[in-house]
Amino acid sequence: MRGLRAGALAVLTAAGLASAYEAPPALEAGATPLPPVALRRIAIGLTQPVYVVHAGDGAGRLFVVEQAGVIRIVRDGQLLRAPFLDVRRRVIAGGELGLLSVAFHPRYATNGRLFVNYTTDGGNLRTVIAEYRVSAGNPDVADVAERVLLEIAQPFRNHNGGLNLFGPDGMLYVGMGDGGSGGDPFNNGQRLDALLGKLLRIDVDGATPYRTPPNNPFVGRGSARGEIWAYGLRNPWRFSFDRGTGRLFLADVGQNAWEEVDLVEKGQNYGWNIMEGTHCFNPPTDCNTNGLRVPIAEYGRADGCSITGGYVYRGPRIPGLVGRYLFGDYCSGRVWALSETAPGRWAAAQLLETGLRISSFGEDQDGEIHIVDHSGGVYVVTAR
Amino acid sequence: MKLSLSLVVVLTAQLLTQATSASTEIFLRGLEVPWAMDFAPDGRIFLAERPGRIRVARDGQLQPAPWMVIEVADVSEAGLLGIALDPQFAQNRFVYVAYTHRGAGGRLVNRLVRLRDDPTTGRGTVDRVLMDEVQGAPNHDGGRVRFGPDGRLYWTVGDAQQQQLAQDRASPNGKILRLNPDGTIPADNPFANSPVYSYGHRNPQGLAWQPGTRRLYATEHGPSGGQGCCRDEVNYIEPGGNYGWPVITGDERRDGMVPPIVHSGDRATWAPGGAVFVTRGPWAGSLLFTGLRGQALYRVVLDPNDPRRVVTFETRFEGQFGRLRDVVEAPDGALYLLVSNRDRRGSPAADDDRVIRLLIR
Repeated sequence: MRGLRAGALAVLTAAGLASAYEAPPALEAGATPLPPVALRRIAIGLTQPVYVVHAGDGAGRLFVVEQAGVIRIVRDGQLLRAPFLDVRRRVIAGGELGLLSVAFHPRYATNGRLFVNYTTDGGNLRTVIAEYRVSAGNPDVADVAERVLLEIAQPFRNHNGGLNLFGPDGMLYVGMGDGGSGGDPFNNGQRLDALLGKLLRIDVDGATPYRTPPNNPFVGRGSARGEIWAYGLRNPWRFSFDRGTGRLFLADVGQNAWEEVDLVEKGQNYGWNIMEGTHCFNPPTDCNTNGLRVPIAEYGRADGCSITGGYVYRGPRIPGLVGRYLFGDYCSGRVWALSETAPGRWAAAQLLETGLRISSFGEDQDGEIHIVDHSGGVYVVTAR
Repeated sequence: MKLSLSLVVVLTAQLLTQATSASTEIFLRGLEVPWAMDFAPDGRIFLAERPGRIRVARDGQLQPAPWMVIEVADVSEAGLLGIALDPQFAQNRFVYVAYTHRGAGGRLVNRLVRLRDDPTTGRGTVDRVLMDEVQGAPNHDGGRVRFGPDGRLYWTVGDAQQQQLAQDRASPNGKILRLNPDGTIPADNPFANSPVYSYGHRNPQGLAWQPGTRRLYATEHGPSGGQGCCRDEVNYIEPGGNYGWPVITGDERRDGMVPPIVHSGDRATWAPGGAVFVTRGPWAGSLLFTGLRGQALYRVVLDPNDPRRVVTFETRFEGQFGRLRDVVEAPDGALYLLVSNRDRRGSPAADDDRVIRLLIR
């Protein structure tokens, strides 16, 4: 998504754009060869899709989020004409703003609850996390009634994070960007009294509008917000839990030079804006890295300009891919597979050159990995 | 209180005009909405034209080819606004600009960018974007960029026609911002880890530091619609101060909010643009600021013992040149007025927009 910002820069002068970036080395090759894979398109004709997800109800449907504020259903390879949910009148979209994700409750099949994450305006730009429910009469249509759980003011129009995702623990995780502009001017990433620049964890079942889980790391610590699960993030653009191990992989979009993948653990600090990837950002040299977690993978401008996080493959159809974390880049369209070659040692290798504007990855209920093209299509990764 | 001040103004204005003589000459012609101007130590003068051109004048001649063209949103009051050269320009060749452009989705966005003068081509290149994605609007984009005597970069940002943002300290809109020249936050800013220097502003477009005291003064456009008329302001800016918009205007008072040191009242509009303190000549120590709608240059003499007390307020050149966007003092002590009749609100003469060179003796 950050590619949009780079595009806007390019109108100044192409020479200026080039000189603004360093040329870091390419990614390392992986230890074991990757299986040959291909993409198969399963939907086309969407308008700026930014996410795809299943409802976990065994119905075989995929739900595609269009940035302007519409959720649409793909069933048996068919994009249904009627939207599942249309909240365009509530959403402000464009650039990095919009309806950015939906999460279906772990017991959606019985309770019909779903949770959206979008930006809205009307004088104070903010992120809204709100609940909707499926309609009583039609499983392919949601009720328009909204219950707001949480609103978070956004000082700038970029870096909105925006993924709602239920963890294996039944809690709702919410990725929040640093509030935007560039360089994190309000230092939100490192401030524990702000919800921006964080991964949040809330309980949507324990209370109204939500409950802060008492085992969150900063509960009861002075002015710190109890909702925070991890901090020091710039713009988490997609994260996921490994179905096999429960580990949390998060892609954090970089500032000028370095895109990163983090393995997120409770209460940890992922470094922004002290560090960008494994490099000092503020100050640019001799920064204090004490207590900061470094990414398990990073890449520079030779490979792309805005990371999109994916999933650890645990599906049945491509055995050679099992256990590898797939992620991509919005600008270059490349997809890499990241493997743990020894405990704590990671190696990435390029899996695909898609030519797509990769706005998101997604899984179906079986664990097959999908890729969302911001230009309007959804693809599934298949064995070749 | 307004009335008595007006009387003082008239009397002292007459006295002072007798004591000094002003001569004016047309320095440059044929510009399009010159919004701001700054001086390089090598003698070049850099001008920002609102439609997006940065022009250079050398030896009194406007260079025909722009130093740089920036794709801006040239709508209503928006576009290329402030320009300032780095105090160490001779060493680093940095130039700072603020402008409104169309972000993704066509929305108006303000950004602060550091440019660099390429010594081989004599043209500008982009160094880095210092601040981005600040909400923009057709009106109220602020836009003044100036270095303070402390070496910090100040940027005025308007409320982007969303007035409640001015009271939200987590929003950059309706603020005077203070940054290091590389875009990072100075450690001694009034709010920790925040670029906000003062807040509660509607559309501030003039910044000037008083010589000797280093006190900062700012001009600000007052309301023009539903919230009554006029009340254009001159504020004495103290770090962390709340200047009241949209809660109070004019003479209204509220605890914790700082009223202006002078405002234009409920009938008269200045529409104040740029501001500067004069350092030489008979006007030395005076605060000057321009009027767009007022089509005048305003001169304020402050009480040296009271930063909030206006001793003299006079109106000069009213209607003589048209709309005045900015006033600057050159290194040689000459004053320059930037005329802005081609900004869609004026009546341009054939050779507008002009830059007027003003000498006070």
